[in-house]
Amino acid sequence: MDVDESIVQLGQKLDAWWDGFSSMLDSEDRVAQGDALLRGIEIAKEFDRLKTDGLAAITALIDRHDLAPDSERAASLIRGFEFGARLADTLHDEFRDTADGETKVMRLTDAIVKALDTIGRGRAALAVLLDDPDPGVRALAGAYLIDLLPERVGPILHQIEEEARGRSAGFRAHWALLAWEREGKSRFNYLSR
Amino acid sequence: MAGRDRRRLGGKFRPKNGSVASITQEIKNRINRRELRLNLVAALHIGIEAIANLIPGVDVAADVTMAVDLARTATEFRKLAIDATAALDFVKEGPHSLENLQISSSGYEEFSSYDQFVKGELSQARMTKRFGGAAYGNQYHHIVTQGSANRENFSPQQLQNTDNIIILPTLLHEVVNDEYLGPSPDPNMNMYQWLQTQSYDVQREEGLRILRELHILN
Repeated sequence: MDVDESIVQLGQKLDAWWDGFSSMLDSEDRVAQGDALLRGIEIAKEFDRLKTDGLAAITALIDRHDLAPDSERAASLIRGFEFGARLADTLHDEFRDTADGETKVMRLTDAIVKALDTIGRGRAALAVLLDDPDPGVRALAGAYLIDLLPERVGPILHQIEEEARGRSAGFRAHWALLAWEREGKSRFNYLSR
Repeated sequence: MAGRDRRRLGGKFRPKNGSVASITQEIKNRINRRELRLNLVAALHIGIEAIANLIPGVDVAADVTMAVDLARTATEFRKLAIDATAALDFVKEGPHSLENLQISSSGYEEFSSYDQFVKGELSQARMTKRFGGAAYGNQYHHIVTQGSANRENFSPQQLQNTDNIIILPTLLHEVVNDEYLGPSPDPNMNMYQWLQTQSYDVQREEGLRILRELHILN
């Protein structure tokens, strides 16, 4: 099972735990409370572990410095980017973990794009993700490419902005469009500053 | 219209019966739960640290009695329960109008500082009148944020006025704040910082947009 799916399931597990635990806050049954609390702590630890594993997987991919041809290296970085986009969205949408989790993942996708830009076709290789079925992946790729492919990326981001309202993908598409319209910059332009 | 809303929710969050009412309820549940989850994890981390401090070198699962004492003193969870109830009461009514969330009933008022606003406005009676029993689970929210660069760039009257300050349940205020703390188009800034590089009008427009996207404002 993917990390993002595991996080979705963990969120549901946490909801169920809270339903049980909150109902016993005023209980005198200390053992039941203690047992429930320990179960909750295990869920929190599992959340930390999933996040750490997800971030480590992307980091390992960026740090891989083998002798693979550029095309293989680019394909591997693009897979990492796609995984990162889904992880960032899941942390945002399921736990609202924006300040820590989503931000850390985005720093890694920044590193992926910088690495990608030094090989082969450069960051233009991300364009393959503009057709990805996941709106969050399309939005993140678009955020880095809007200066390069404005006529293609603009309508894609506008569509995601409308269809993913209130979700990570929708916010990301909107902010990318706003920065482009007001400052003429993609996320990559800020990175290269 | 219902079909359009269902598309927006996406496959795995699509309510089984697909009615507008159930979709609305789904949105309400998700808003409330999502924010609660991160708070719960944070509170449980307090538990992890407290147990580690109380029982050095002993496995967490080994001492249930200690955990029980911790549970009884975990006021954090009680506060969360109160905040969750206040947020649920709020979202049950559906998205609110901006006027409904503004505190003053006597038209536009501005203040020379946040302290002056609070002295003038933060009375239990007024909050209770507007929000009933949930008064203690509410906080003030500035649509155009009041700290950092904005404090330098705008006058106190532009920030501390009854058009710019609204009241929100604490948990939903945290939902909004989390959006501001997320990544911005500029990798060197979060949204809170990046928006403060924009004009007052853009900040207000985007601040209202965030509230609408989160189904707080209609």
